[in-house]
Amino acid sequence: MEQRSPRIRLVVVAIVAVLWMGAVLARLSYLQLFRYTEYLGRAQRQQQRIVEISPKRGVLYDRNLRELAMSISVDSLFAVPSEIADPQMVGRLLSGVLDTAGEEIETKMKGSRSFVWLARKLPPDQVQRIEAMNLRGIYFQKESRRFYPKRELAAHVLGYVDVDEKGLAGLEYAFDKQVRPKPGKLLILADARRRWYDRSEQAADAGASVVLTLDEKIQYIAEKELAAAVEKTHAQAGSVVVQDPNTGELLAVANWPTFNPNLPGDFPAEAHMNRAIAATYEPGSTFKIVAVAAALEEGITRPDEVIDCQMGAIYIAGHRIRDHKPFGLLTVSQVIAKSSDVGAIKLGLRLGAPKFYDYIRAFGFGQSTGIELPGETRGLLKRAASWTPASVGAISMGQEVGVTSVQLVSAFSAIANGGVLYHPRIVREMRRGTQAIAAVGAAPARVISPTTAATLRRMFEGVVLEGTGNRARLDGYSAAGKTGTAQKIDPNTGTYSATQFIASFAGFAPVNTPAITVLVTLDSPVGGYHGGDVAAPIFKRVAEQVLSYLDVPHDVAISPAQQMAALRGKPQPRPDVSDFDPVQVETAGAPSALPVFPPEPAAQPSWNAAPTVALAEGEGVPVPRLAGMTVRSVTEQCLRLGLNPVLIGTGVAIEQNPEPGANVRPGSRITVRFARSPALRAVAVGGN
Amino acid sequence: MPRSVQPDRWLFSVTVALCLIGAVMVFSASAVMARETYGNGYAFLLRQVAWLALGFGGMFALMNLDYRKLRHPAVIFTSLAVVLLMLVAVFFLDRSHATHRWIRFGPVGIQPSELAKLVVILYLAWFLEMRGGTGEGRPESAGENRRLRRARAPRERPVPGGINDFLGTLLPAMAPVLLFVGLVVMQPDLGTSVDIFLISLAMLFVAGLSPVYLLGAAAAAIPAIYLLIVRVPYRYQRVTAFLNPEADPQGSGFQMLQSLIAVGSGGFVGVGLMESRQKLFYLPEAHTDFIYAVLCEELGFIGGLAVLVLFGIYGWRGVRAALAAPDDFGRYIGLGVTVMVVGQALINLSVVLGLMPTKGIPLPFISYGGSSLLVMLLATGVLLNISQHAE
Repeated sequence: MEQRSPRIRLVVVAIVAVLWMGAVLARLSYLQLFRYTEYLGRAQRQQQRIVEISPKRGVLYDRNLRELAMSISVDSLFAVPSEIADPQMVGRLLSGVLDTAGEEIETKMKGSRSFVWLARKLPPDQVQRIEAMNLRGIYFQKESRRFYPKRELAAHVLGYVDVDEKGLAGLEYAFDKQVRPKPGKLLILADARRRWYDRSEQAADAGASVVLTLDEKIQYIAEKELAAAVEKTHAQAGSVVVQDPNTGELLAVANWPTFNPNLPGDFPAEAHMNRAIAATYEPGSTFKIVAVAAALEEGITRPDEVIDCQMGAIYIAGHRIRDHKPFGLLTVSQVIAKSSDVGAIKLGLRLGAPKFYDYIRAFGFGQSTGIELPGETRGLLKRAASWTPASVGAISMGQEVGVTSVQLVSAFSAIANGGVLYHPRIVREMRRGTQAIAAVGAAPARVISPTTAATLRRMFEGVVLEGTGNRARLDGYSAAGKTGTAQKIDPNTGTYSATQFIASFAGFAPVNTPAITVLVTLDSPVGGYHGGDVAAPIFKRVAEQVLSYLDVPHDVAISPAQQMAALRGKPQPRPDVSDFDPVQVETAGAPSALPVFPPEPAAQPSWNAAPTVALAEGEGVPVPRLAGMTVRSVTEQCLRLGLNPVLIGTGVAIEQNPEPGANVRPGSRITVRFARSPALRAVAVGGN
Repeated sequence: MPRSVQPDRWLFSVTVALCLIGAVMVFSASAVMARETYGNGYAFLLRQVAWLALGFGGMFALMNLDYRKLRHPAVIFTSLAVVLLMLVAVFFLDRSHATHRWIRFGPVGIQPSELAKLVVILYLAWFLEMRGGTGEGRPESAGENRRLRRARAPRERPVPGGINDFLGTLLPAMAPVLLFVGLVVMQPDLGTSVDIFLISLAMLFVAGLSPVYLLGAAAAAIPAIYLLIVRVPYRYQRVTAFLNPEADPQGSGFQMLQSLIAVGSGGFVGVGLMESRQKLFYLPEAHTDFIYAVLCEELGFIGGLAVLVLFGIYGWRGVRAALAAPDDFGRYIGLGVTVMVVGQALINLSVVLGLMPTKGIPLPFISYGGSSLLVMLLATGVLLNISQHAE
């Protein structure tokens, strides 16, 4: 009977063991199955360090896919302090390369045991010198850095980014979401002694690239001429906007003062302002297009209608308004050409406030244009209901309204293209990988009929030919436009300033088939302040260079002086941008010293070249194939064969007459057409 | 004569499996540390394999040696004396870490306290069979056994009071045990001494010890616990850290917390063999006392459960062998060895999983450590021999 006792007791021990095992199993399940997530999180918190890597942003291209803003790989320096035996020495060594005191580096290294940035985005020479030191615990991490290779070029449009590549202004800001990729993460696995044993990078998603409507070279021309004008006139500020009137695409948006987006902090805040869209000003006479266009469209006047300009004074609602010059009887065309305020006021009064207001809105004033840039203002336009009796008169001549350059240039484009208002656009398309998404702007809207637009073009051509804008006359191209000279409102007194003006000129060329619309605005020029005196010449310089660059065919005879110069084979100041490279130019320290195009020998610009007559076979010389050749080599080859080359345009040969292979008499003319590139040709042809 | 059967295949397989798991885990848990300390990632693995070889040699020897030959007083008392000598010797030989645990022979070091467990089992089994129990369960067929008993204890009937005779049985039974426990406590190695004490208690209990004594022992333990735990700051810290590891996560709670993080972050399938991150100096004693945490992290709940089940099988087969043993000597040894292996495993797992305060107790067969491995394998050898003498 007692024999069983040890057995029973053995079983009791076994039961105790089984219960204990049950407890262990329960605990194991609890820890591993129920609290898994929590403990995994704790494990990762102590084992991993996550460092965010600034992503590579998409590229901002001009319309010909030349990079305006890009991200480049640079090295950032960081330390793993736990691996550094002598921080003081390391600090001293690094301070020899970095512009930081050794103590400061040492203090930084005390901040963490596993990871600390010492310097972000270093230039390559410093990286090399630090690498050469071969220090333990000092590492580099590739990061990307925003780089604006053309420096100030289109700075206001592009904007800039902060050290973490977040867009802060311009398109960088407006398209930050699209351009900015998902940030990459650097995952560091560290052991308990804070040493790394593994790094893994979570690849960043590439950001979308944006293709702008700007043309780098047109932008360069606009900025160069604006800067020169500001220097000459001592204006406080200014802007030049170039638009393709047939699409609304902005080809150049130049502002002064400007800044270098690579170093935005080095410039005052006012330099960052994109005045073309953010500055509102009273336009003055350029605004007369609205009253005249509306009156013509409504059929309440004709270009040859004679208006009494009352020798320079008119009373509206008790206010006497003086013209800038006393005029007597003028036709409507002359009212525009001579910029008579009284004449414009009379047209405005004839229209009446409600209609006038509708036309102002239809031309795009007083509302956002929808341009893709941040910071656009709508301008100032009171509702017709709140206009005073004097308002119609004031607005007719461009007072009591505020406009932006982009609004005004678009309104002129509407007249240039035959009456359709295109909304100004700065973005052509977005590219993500191989996929391109074309930007869709607001639908264009007809404002005036093509007939009215044609009439207005003639009238504005008169401004250039015989009116206030005669200094805007172009060599080889017809042009149309309107001057503007607006008194600024003195912020202290609230009345019109007698000394500060906004001088402007808005115009387009060539008149019948406009390829570009250009608006020049100068804020407070010193000395001459009339739009026709200070702004019109800039229009001329910009328009001539841009039209030539775009290979727009000349529609009027080139000036005799130019022809003579061409015949003598003298170097002439051609608007050459073929070797344009602002970076090189500016590093050379001479931004104004543009490379001068080599003389075009014996180029006889005859625009109505008579077709050459082909000869019977066996006689004369065979015509060579010239396509793809440069101006110089075409000239040389023709002269060698005894042919007389007639060269049109610049760039590479794209067309010739007669065709290659034909036999022609020695001394015959060979007409050769040149173009920059197919893309540009397309723009030029579109202008035709 | 008892039927001579094969040694228990289950027991044997489980032991081999645990040893293989141990070798792999020792390598995994120690490779990085070994490379940093010795410049050789295989340092611990090679030593473990060497001890395994030695241990398996010993296990096969004892498996093929009739356990009843151990019943000779010369064997018992010689081993008692040797271990006693060694336990005393450590105080003079090893002063390395303010603890006295090791006796080194060149590169080889052994811990006498591990040997003490085995010797205590042998001694108690021998003594309790002789004095304790009823004697009726003893098989008359064990001729040698009978002759021995007659020589030592001429009475055919058990002594009055049997096992519960305090002066006659308990005191002489426990005297060497308590001596050993005292010496081990002084090393100081509280974990192993508690282990020895628990093995003895289990053996006495199975031999028929009255619950009164157990209660008495528990009562006597209270002041001992007070003196040995509450008054010793590092042990007291371990207890408080066990009760609330978050109170001092970087200090006393660190080891406990890191162990829980390792186990918890393993989840169901683990982070993968060799992939443990906690072994990278977060978890102290990753390849010895806390190897189960690394195993749970790398192999997850599946791995952790597998080890628990293997020890469960060991316990089941061990108890089965004890029950089937032909005599009390075999029964007590079988029980003692099973309690030693499974009990120590359960204590270790409980510590790793935060069920008990931290102790310096390795996981049998798996933790790195030559002496422990050797003793466990030798004990298993004896158990395997007992298993083939089943009635």
